[in-house]
Amino acid sequence: MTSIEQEFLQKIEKHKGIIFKISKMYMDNKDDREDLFQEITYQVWKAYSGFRGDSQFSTWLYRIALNTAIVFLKSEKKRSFIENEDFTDYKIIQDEYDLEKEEKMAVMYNAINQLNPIDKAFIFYYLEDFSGKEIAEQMGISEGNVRVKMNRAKNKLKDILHAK
Amino acid sequence: MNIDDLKNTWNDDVSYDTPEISIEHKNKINLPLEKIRKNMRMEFWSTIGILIFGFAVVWIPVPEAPFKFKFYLTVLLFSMVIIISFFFSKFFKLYRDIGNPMMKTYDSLKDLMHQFDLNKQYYLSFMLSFVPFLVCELIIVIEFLPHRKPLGNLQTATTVISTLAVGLFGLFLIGKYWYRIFYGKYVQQIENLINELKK
Repeated sequence: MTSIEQEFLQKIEKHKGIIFKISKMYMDNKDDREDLFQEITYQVWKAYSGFRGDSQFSTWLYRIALNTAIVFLKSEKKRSFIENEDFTDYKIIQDEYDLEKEEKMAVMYNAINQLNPIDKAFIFYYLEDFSGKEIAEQMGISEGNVRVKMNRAKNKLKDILHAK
Repeated sequence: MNIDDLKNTWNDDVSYDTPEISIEHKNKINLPLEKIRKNMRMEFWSTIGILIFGFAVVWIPVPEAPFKFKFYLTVLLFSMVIIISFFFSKFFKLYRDIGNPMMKTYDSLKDLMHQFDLNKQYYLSFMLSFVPFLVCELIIVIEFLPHRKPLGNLQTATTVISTLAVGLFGLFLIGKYWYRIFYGKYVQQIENLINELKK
């Protein structure tokens, strides 16, 4: 393994949790989530030589991860007839096992999964506490547009959550 | 659940069961570009197959055909090889260079869409570039194939012009249909995402 590969793996290791969370936001099926996780890792690796350090590594990584997730196609293999079965997999580690937390996570990911890919990106930035300016920079749109779209995405999510 | 509670739930999700990181490409096709690349490979090999078949038809089954007939068709096929090579080199270059996820999301989607549009124009030009070949082949066939009664000037002109008109229209339609079937759904997907960001 080359030194650049080692350096990359060290950096990505710290962020693999967030990559997996993005995968869970975008894919409701375990296999697709793992495919997306690997695809994001691969795309980040491909782009890594272009990382200049102008922004934080995490900010740069989030942009690539979301850009990849937004255009990621679900695999066409046959699925189980229970589409969202895998959301019950979100167990927190055994010694901190908390049924209520686990249920909340399942509700959250199920709700987010019903949004369109663009709204999911806005919700991700909201959950990660990005400012309007930072989101505008990441998405390539104006701050005013970010406010409008963020409100719209949050309202859609609220409606989904209240409908449950 | 309240939307403000989501942040707590989000922060509580500390995934310990993440998949193993692999930076090797798995050859799974889940990106529109990968699907397009796969289609392109299929088109490339089909075209090679068609050209080999063309050369074989000219040289193998009709040994009694005049040399000039075979020679003209061979030259025509070689010219087609050059034109096809040119277009395929453009297609391959196009797909090697696109799909930059480092760009801002909107710019990245716009770039993808622009490349799709460019590709569409290439496709139509590619299809229409076959029209002169079609006409040449027709002329060669008219000139060399024996007819019970020689074709008159008007008949020859009508045949060539009508074939040109039908060929032009047919190739244009086939090009559009082919593009829509193989690429249209991905273009639509990207277009919807751009509209979602714009509106």
